[in-house]
Amino acid sequence: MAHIDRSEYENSDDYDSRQYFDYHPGDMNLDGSDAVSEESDNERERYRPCQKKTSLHNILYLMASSCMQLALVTVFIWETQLLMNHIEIPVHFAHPHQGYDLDSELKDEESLSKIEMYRKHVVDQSGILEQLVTNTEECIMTDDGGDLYLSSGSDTTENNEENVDGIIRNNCDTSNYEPPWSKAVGTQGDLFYLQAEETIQYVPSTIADKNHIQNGHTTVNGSDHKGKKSKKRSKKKDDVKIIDGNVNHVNSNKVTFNDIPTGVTRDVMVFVDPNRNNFGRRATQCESLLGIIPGHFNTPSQEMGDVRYNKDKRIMVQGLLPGGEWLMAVNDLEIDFDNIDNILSSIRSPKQVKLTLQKIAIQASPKHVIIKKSIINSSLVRLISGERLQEEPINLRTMPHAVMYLTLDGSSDGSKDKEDILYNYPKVNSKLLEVRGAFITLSHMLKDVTDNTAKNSTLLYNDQLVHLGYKKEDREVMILALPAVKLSLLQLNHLCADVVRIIRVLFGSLHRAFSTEGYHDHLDHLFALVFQRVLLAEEMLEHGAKQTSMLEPSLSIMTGVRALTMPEETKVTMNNCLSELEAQEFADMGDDFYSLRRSYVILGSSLFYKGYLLANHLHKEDLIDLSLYLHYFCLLTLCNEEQLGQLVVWREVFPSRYCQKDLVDPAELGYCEPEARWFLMVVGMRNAVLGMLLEAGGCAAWAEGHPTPDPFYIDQARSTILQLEALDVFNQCEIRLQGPAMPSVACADWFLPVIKGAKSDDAAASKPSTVTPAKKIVQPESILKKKPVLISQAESQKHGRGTVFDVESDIDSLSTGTSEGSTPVMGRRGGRKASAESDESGESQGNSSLFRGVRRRRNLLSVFDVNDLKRGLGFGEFNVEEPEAGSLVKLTTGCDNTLFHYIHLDELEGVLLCPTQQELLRLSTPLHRQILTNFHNSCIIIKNSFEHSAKVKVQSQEEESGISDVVEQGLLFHCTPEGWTDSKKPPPTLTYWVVGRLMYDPFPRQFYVCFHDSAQQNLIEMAFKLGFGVTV
Amino acid sequence: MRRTELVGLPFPILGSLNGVHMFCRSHGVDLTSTATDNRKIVWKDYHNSLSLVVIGNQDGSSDVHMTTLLDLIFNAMVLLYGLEDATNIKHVERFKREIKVCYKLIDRLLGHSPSPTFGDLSRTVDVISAPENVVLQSYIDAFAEAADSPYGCLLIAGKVAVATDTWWTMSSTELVLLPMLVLSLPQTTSQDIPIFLPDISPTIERFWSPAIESLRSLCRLHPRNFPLNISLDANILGFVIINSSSHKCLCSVFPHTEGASHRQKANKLLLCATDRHRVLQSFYKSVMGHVWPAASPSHTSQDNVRDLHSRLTDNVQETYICTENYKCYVLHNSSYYLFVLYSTTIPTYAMRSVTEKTFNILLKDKNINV
Repeated sequence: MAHIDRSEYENSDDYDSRQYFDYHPGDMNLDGSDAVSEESDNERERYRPCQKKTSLHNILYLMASSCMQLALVTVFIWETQLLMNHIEIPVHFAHPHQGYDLDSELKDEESLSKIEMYRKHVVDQSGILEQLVTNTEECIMTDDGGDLYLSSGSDTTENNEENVDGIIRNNCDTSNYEPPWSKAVGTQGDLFYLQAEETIQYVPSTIADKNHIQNGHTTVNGSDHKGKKSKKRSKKKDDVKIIDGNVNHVNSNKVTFNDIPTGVTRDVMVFVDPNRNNFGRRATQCESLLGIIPGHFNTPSQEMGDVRYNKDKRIMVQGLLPGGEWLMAVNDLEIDFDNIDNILSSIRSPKQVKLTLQKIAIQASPKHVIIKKSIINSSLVRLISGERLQEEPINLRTMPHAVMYLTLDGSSDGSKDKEDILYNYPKVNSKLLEVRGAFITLSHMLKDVTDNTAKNSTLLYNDQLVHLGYKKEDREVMILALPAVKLSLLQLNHLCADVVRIIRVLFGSLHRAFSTEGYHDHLDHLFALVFQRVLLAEEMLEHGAKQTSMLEPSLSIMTGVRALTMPEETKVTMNNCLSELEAQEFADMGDDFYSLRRSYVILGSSLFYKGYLLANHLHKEDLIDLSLYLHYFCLLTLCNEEQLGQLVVWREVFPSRYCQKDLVDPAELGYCEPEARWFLMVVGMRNAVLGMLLEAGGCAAWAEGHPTPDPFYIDQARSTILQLEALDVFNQCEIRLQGPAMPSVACADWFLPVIKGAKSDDAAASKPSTVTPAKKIVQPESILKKKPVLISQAESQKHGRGTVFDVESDIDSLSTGTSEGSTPVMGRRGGRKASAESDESGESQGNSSLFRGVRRRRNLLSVFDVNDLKRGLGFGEFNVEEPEAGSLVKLTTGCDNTLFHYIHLDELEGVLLCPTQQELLRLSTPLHRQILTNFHNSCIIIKNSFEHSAKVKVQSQEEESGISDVVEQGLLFHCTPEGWTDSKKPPPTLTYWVVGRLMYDPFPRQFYVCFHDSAQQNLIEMAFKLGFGVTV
Repeated sequence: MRRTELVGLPFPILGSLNGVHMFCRSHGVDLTSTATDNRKIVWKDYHNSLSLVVIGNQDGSSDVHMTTLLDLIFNAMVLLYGLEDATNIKHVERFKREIKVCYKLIDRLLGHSPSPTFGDLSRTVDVISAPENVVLQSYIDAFAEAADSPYGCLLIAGKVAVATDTWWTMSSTELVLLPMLVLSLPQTTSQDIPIFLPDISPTIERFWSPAIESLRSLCRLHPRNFPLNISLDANILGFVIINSSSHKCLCSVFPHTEGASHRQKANKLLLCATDRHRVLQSFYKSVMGHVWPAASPSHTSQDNVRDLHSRLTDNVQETYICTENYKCYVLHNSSYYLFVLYSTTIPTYAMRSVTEKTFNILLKDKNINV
C-alpha cells in the first residue's frame, strides 16, 4: 500500500474524514485506510479520480459500491472555478464509456447516479485556504444558461470490473468537469492559458486556521470585505484573459457573503433518495442527503469558530463550492442550521427536491489572512497572453524590424507577387521585405564562396543600421532583422539561434512552422513578444515590468537558466516533491492495477519561482528548451512581476535533444531513446511555475492524434506546487530573495569618498546595515593616507595584505597585542606595527566623512572574520547580525568585499548564477547602475572573444583568423560619478575590473565578475568559492 | 577585390556579390557587410562609381577593420591612377587593364609580406627608432632641400627612420601608403634607398656617404626597431606602441638582444616572429572597435552604433586576454596604446605592472620618438 499517512496535517482531536489539511489531491484520503476500514459504509471514501496512492481498500469499495444502487444527489456548479480560482482542484467525473452525452442521459432518471463528494479542506500551514472539491461520480449534468441540472446516469447496474477500468480511464482522459482552461484548447490539443489574479498575500497563520476546523464544519469569516466588493469586481474585468480568443471569462474570485441578497440565487433540482446512502454516523443529514457539506458563516467575534454560538445560521455550501454559496431553501422552505435536520429528515422516500442556493460576491478570506492591495498589471498580462498583437505600438514602426521566411522556389524576381514569402511579420510592406531578393541570393550563394551559409548581414537605410540574422533550412531561409542600436551582432545571433530553437521545439522544423498556415498565429505571438521585448524595453517598464531582460543584456547571450541558490534543506524538499511527482506512484494509474499503460512518462520537471530556477530534474538540453520557451513567451518575467492566477501550457514539442541532430546524445551501447512523442506541460500558480516534459511512447502508451491537455497531470502538477507551498518552500525563497546577497555584493558608491554627505546617504541606506555608526573605526593606512580610491597596483600589493583588519568596534579599547594574539586573523593580516600605524592614522584623521565613506565598504566581512573576532575578542554584543551559514560569503580576496557583480554559467547543467534582481534593486544607485551597464556590455565583448576563439580552434590553423584558445579576458575601467559639481577638485575616480574566464575542469564553466581594483583577484579561486561556498 | 594569388572566384559569383549590393542600393538600402561562420564580406561604394568588395576571414572583430582596408585600397588606386580616372571610368575594359598598376600595392595591403608592418592596420606609420636618428635627421633635411622637395624620409624595410617635418604633415592615409608603395616596388629593401632616391636626385652620394656608418647601424636595428640599450622584461615576446595623434607606431617582435632571443628559441612555448606579429594584429583587431574606437577617417556615427565600444559609458584603461599559448595586454594612455605580447610564463597579475613599466621605459627614452 503506497499510502502515505499525512497525519502531521491532521487536527487529531477534531479530525473528521471530511476535513483535510492537505494540498495533494492525490493524498486526499489521508485517512483512507482507517476511515474505510472503520466506516465500511462510507460511500464517500469511494473512488476518487484524483487520488494518488489510492488504497486497495478504496478500489475494492469502489467496485463494490458501483454495483450498489445509490441515489445521491449532487450539485455541480460551474462557478466553482470562479471562486478561489487559483486553488480549486479540477475534478474529473467518470462515466463509463461516455463523456458528455448529457441530453440522452438527462431523461433517464431511473438509473442511478453515484456521487463522489467534492471536498473542501482548509490548509493552514502556509495560510492557504484551500477548498478542494470532491468529485461526483457518474453525475450527469448540463450547463444551461449558467444553471445546472443534474440527472442520474445510466448503465451502472452493469458495472463490472471492466467498467471500473473504464471509469479510471475516463478519469484521466476525459472529464465531465471542465477546468477553466478547457475552452482555450486549440485544435492541435495545444493550450496556452494565462489568467491574472488579484494578488492575495496569504500570511501564515498557524493558530487561527487550525481552529477553524470544528467538528466537520469549516467556518469562514464572512464580514470583512463587504465594502470592497464592488471595487474589486470592477477591477477584475480586465484581468482575466485567455488566448486564442475562444474564451473570455470574467472571473470573480472574491465574493462577499452578506445579507443583502445581491448574489445570484439559483434553484437546483436534485433527486434524492434517503435510503440509499450512508456516509457514516458523523455525516449530517445535509451531507448524506444532499451531498453538501454545510459550513458556517463566521462573524469576526466568532473567529475561533465555536459553532454553538454562531449567530449566523445560514448554511454555507462548503463542501461543494468553496465558500461561495449558501443554501437558502429546500423546496422553498427557508432553512438554516437550526431547522435543516428537521426539514431534511422529512424526506423519507426518493424524490426530487428543489434547492435554492444563493451565490454572493464574497470574501473567502478569514480575518487573519492579509489581503495585500496590489494593482493588477493587466496590460502586461495582455501583452504576454497575446491579446495586444493587433495593436502594434506606434513607436515600434519607426524601428526597422522584421522576420521573414523565404523560399527559393517562389518567384524570385517578381517582387509584386509574393510567392516566395512563406511568412513575414509584422504584416506590413517594409523596405526590408522589398529587398528580400538580395537576402535569398546571399544565403544561397555564400555557400559556394565560403563553404558556409550566411549568418549575418548589416545594412544601412534611413540612417539606421540594421543587423540581419539568417537561418537556412534546405531551400528556405528565415531572416530576422533588428536595429543595431538595440542589439549588437552577437546578441542578434543568440536571439536568432534561440528563436530557431524554440520554433523547432514547438513545431518540429522551420519549414513545418512557417509553411503551415495554422501555426502563423503562434508565430505572430512569438515574434510580437520578441520584438516588443527587444525593442520596447522601455514600454515594458511602463507596463510595470520592474526589470526586463534588456537591462541585463549579457544574460541573453548566456545559454543558461538563472537559478536561485537555496539552502540544502530546501533543495532536498523541492527535489523530493519533484521526484514524487515524476515517479507517478499513483496506484490507480499503475500498470499493475488495470493493466493499462500510463499515458505519459514524466521525463523530468523543473521548478521556477519568480523567474528563478529552483530545482531541475530535466536533461540540460530539455531544460534549455523549456526555459527558452518560458523566457520568450515572457512567462518567467510575468511570474516574477505578477502573481499568476493560473497558467496552463500544454503542447506537443520536439525536444532538441531528440529531434536536433547536433544535440542528440551520442548513442550509448545497449540503449537508445525510444520512439516517442513528447509533450510540454507548464503549470503556474502565483509566482511558481512548474514545467514538465512528458513522453508518450516508450514505456508509456502511444499517443494518437492530438492529445488534449491531460487534466490529471495538470492536477498533479498543481498539487505539487501547493505541496511545495505547504512545505514552506516559497516562503524560503522569499526569505532568500529578501535576505542578504549570497555571495555578498558591494555597492560601487561605498568606494567613493563621501561627497558632502548628502548624495551617498541613499547608498548607505540601501546596504544591509550591520554597523553602528557611533563606534570608532580603525582604518588601514593605505586607505586613509593615500587618496582613498586610487590605490595603485604596487601599493595595494604592498599594503593590501598588510593592513590591519578594520572592524567597526571599539577595538582600540582593547590592547592590540591581545587581539593579535588571540585571533589568527590578526596574525594573517598584519603585524603589530601595522596595527599601531593604523590606530594612529585613525586618530590623526579627524575627517569623519571619510571614515564613513570607507567604512561602508567594510561592513561585509567574511564569515571567518566575524566568527574569529567574536571568539577572539569575546564580544557578546558584536553588532554584526549572526551570519546564518554562508550568508556573508565573500568571493573576493582582500579585506574589503570588492565584488560588484558576477555571472557564473555552468555549461554542464545550463544553470546561471548571478545576483538576484532583488539584490540588485537594493544597490541601485546611479553609479552602480552605470557600472553594471558597463559590466554587461563588457561581458558581450568578452563572450564575443570566447566564441570566436572557440571557432578558430575548430577551423584549420593555417589561416589567421583571430586569437584562439582564449581563456580569460579583462577590462579595466575608470569611472567618474556623473554630475560632479565641485569644480575645484577633480572628480574622484573609481577603478574597476570586468573579467571573464573560461574554465574546463572539472566541467565547462564561464565566469564573469566585476570588482573594484583594490585587490588582485584570482578568478579560479572566486569561481571555486562560488561553487562551494555559497550554499554551505 | 581578392588576393591575386588565390584562385579567382567564378564570374557568376562575382556578379552576384555585386548584384545584391546594387539591388539593395537601388531600393535605398545600403548593404554593408555579410558574414558566415568563417568568412566576412564587406562592400563599400566610392564616389558612386566604384564598388569595392572584400572577402576576408571572420575573426569576430569589428567590420571597421575591413572598411579601413577598403579605404586604403581605394586610396592606393587614387595614388597610382588618379582620382579623376578612378572615379570617372569611361572604358571599363581599359580601366581594368590599367588599374593593374595598383596590384602590387594592393597585394601588399591584403597582407603577405616577409617583413610585416603594423601601420596599415592601425593607419599609422611604422617607425624605427635608433640612436642614429638624431644624426640622420640633419642629413634628410639637407637631402630634401637639395632635392628641392619638402617631403623626404628615410625608410628602413618600410619603416620610417627619419623624415622631414613637412613629411609628417601629410594625412595618415598618405603616410601609410607611401612606405607601402616603396615596399611594393620591385627589389626594394632597406638597402635600396640609394637606388630609389637617385630617381629624384642623382647627387645622392654627396649627401649620404658621410652617414653610411649610421645607416648601416640603423639597418642592423631592423627588425628590432628600437634601440639596443633598452632592455625589456624577459616575458615580453613583442609589442607595438601606437600614437593615434601623431600617426606613428613602433612595433617589435624581437624585443630581446641576440643572446636572449637565442635562449628563447629553445623554448617551444614561444611563438615564431610571424606568429607574434599575427597575434599582435589579431589582438589589435579584437580590441579596436570593440573596446576602443578604431582609427578610421571615414568613421561615421553608424560605425559607432555597430561597434561594441559605443555601449560602454566608462573609459576603458586597460584590457588583456589570456590564451593557452600566450597573453596579451594593452594599455591606453591619452593618445597612446601599448599592446604587449607575453609568453604564458608571466603571471596574469604581473602583466599590469610590467606593461606600465614598459610603457614608461619606451616613452621616456629620448631615442624613441613615437
